[in-house]
Amino acid sequence: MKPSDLAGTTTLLRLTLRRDRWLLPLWVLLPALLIWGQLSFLAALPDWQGFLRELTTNPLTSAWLGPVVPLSVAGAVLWRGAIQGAIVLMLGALLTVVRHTRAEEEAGRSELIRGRAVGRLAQLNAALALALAASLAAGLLVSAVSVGGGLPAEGAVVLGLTLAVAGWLMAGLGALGAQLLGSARAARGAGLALVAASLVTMVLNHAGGGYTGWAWLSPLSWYRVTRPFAGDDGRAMLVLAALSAAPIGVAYVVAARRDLGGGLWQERPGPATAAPGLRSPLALAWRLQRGLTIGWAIALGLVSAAAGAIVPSVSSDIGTMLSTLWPERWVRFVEAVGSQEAFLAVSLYILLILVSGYGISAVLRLRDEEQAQRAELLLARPVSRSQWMASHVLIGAAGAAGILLAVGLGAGLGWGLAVGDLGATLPLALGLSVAKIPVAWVLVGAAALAYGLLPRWAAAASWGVLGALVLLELLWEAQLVSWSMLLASPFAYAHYTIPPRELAISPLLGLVALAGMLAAIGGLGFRRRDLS
Amino acid sequence: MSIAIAVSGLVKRFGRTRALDGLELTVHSGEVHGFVGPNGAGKTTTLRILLGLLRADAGQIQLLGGDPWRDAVALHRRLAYVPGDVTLWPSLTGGEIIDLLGRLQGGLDPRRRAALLERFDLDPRKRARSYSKGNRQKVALIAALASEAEMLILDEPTSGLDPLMEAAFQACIREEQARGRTVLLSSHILAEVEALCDRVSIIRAGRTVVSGTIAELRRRTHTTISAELVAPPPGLAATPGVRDLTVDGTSVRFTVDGEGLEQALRLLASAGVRSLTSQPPTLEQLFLHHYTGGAHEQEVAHHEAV
Repeated sequence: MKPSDLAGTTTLLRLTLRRDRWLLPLWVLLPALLIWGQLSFLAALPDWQGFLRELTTNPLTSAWLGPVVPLSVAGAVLWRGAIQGAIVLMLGALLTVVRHTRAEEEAGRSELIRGRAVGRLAQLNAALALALAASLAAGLLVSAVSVGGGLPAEGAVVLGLTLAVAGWLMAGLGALGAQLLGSARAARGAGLALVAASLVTMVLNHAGGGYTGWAWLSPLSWYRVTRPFAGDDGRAMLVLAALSAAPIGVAYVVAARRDLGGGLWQERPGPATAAPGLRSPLALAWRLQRGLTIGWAIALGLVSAAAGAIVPSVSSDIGTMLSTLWPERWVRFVEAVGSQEAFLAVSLYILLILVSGYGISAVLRLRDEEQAQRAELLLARPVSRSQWMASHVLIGAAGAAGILLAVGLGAGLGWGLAVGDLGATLPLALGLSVAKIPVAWVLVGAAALAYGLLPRWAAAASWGVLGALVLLELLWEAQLVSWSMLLASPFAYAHYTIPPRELAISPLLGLVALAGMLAAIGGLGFRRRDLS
Repeated sequence: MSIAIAVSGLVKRFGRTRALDGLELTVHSGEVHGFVGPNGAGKTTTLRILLGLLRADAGQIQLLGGDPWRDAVALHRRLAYVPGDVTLWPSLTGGEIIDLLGRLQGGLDPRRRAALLERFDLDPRKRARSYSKGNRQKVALIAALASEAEMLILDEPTSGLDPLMEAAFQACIREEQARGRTVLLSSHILAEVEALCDRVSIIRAGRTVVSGTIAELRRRTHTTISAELVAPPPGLAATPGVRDLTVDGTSVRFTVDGEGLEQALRLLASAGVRSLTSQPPTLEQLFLHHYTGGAHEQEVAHHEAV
């Protein structure tokens, strides 16, 4: 690496800051806000010691989130806030780096910049500088908020740095993916898969008691390695920092050697003629989305298999304080089906939120295609607008259904093989997951509605609806919202507190009809508007 | 001769801006019609309205006897389109895209496809993400030319092609014309317009400035005349249609439009001509004249009345 390779970094850094002036503060501030939320929630609890005891002994929560260590306000803040904060920083760093490296290259803007007196590594350098500095800033903000909330300073710094290092790791992996893979979409996908994998290793670590070797493999669990407020292991901290620097180094080496626009692998020639099936907008939509869809199905299938395999190790004791801390409906449910089945029900319910996200992003592909003017290539042929729009909406609906089937299959097999009784577990897990398909379809329908009527706001509106529904769920769990209010959300009709044998069919069919109606209205809107 | 495209009074607004402001366009069946104008004049907007991608705010539009918005799918069976800025699906190969687009229209003749691939020297096995702008345009062109559509709508189809490919393109369009297809060609390449187009419509700021054959357009603009005379000519300055007159002793130089030409020449002859050169406007001058608003409003009114 020569100094001239970095020429222009400062100017480019200013450009990245200008482009990210709204996005960057969002992910830099969010972890501190989450920690602050945890602190003020605990401060408002009359009996927080009892609450903590309950959390750490409750078999359900500890299977997902591990024990509360230390058993104090600090430990409780770590217990949920550290994981959430790490997820935010990992996603923020990953997406920021890819956005300013491979995405720029793909759009042809890098060429505009590299034609100037700008070094070969300057763009990578600027993107990494931004992501690393932002992660550090976010971590230090977390430290500041923790100290402000009365936690010990040393532990607060270790916590902040632990989160920052998780951001650094993903910044480096994102940079490496951007160098090796030929497209921004692939680089983002690979990074998201790594984040998902770290969720799996986190759960494996927690299922094993919270302090297994798995913790090293999951940046979400690194607070179990550095132990803020409970020993403050500075040496482990240094090891993690060194680990997270490794992908950054490799990314620089690759970037200094490769061609602009190239990846590690030379593009192989593809077929000279299209397969016989590629003859309709639907076939094209599947071709464009199949990689992503199958990837989701495999990833979530594996996650649910892991969750299923853990089920037998969930203690079947029911915590003593359960009744005072959780909604009565949830307590009755756990008493009715037992902790093990309840654990699986909650796990699959969380995955439903992710699958809804898949459905939304599959529908929003319409917007990408329209903006890139590839839609007009098809619509200038004898392809009706309804036919074209339906293609991606159908892929979103069918894909979500397929992924949920994979989830049910994975959970049923994982659980069944762990206890040696597939006959009982498989139908139960499949029943739980199939019942969630109509819920995901409602989100698909909502995204189609937003795309048809408000194309410019389609992404904000669809993700906003999903966010609002998740918030409503959290408010219900905190007993701030009643069950009858939660019934306004489609999620309530396949809720984890409904035992599989009591799932009512007619509301689910109602959701299917609602999804169809939303999509149809979106289709009518799309038929009447201009193409952008 | 039947009319393939008849547009009158076409208006399209985007927010507060009027992209099209009473545009007129007539394309006869079987002709190659040049559609020219400066950047931002509204050419692409017009084409996208003709394809039913945008909805007109006002005006009458007839395309192959139908309404481009209402009858979009039926009309698209009979036409093929090449957008100005071709973007393709990065992960598909050129060959796959040509096949897909052809099949949407009811299938391609494989021999014709192979011939066009060879003619335009395109490797169909490459993924679209590695194609240059010119190669992306070739994909869209081959997909359009290989179809059996009776009308081609081409939006600056050659802006990324090299001179060799430009020649191949011109040859293809001539063949299409010989087969009786109608072509609406938006272009910035004046030599291409002159070589291919039967008639031309020039638009500026969302309005049609002038429309006609290139010979007609030439006749309506100014010829530059410089002459060595025996004696200074009397009354040349007062002759209608004469402009930019400079007299230097017995040499004169001026421009004159088609109507004043005869009278100006008569005056020159009466003064005795030693030498005379006359330059018709170059194609560039002709277009620039209309692009920059050199054409006066009354002239526009005159042309529209013709």
